[in-house]
Amino acid sequence: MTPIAHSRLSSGAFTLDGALLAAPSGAPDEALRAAYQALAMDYPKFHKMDRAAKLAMLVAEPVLRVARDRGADLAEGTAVLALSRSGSGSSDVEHWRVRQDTGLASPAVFVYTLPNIGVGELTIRHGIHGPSLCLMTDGPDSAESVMAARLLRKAPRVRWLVCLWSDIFAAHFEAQAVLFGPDEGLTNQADATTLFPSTP
Amino acid sequence: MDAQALKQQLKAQIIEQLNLEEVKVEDIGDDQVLFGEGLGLDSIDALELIVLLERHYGIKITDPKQGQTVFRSVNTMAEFIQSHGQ
Repeated sequence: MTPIAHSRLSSGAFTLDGALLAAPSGAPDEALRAAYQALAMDYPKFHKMDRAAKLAMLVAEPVLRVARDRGADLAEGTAVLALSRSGSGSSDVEHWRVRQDTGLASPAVFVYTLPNIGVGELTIRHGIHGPSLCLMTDGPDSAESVMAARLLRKAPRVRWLVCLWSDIFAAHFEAQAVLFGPDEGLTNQADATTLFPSTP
Repeated sequence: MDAQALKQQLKAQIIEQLNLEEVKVEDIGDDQVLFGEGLGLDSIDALELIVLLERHYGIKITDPKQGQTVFRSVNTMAEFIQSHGQ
């Protein structure tokens, strides 16, 4: 089960198929901003997102550019699987902190206290209308991750599948994205147990 | 605080509160429409502006229709704040 494209983003390295796109360092906010600038995304709404949504958006961007270059039907023929361990934990803590500090909830923080918001932001930006699924799992290649990917791949009209693993909490963040195309059918490989290549 | 200083302060607060990282104070015109085609703010931003007025100026907006008028531009926000004795 070999994906067409594989991106990784963690402190110090942002890669696409092993090639370095950027070397974002520092605190998560600083590193995510550096990764955004490296992609030249020009998407002002990015700055309003929480860290988890930013991370998912950033790691997905390179593989979706590959998908677009290969003529993928992003609007109707693409599904998205989002996987995370910490989900919206960072924003949950931030929401609590803001309420403690000010006595008022911040709508812009509160709106991100759901783990599936990042998928929504991603599908809005890229105009993806196909099925999507958000799962909380212990790791990127859990049994349920592979099962969910197969289910999405079998959905009507779906020919392309983007799988995201993005996890951020406190100072730690890591993310991966893979793109499967029409000829890389997960459905025909019942023995497959991983979505994300161990290298690069 | 005079009107011009209040408008400058409001612009800075809007940028900070709404995380408008690519916008500078001088990019926002006093009479520029804030929502839709103007500065491009959305419904969540409208809620943040309500919180901004309450947090920084002690003014509560309870009627959503009032918000449509108050948040039309920096000018209308400043007039509203001054009319409430700030």
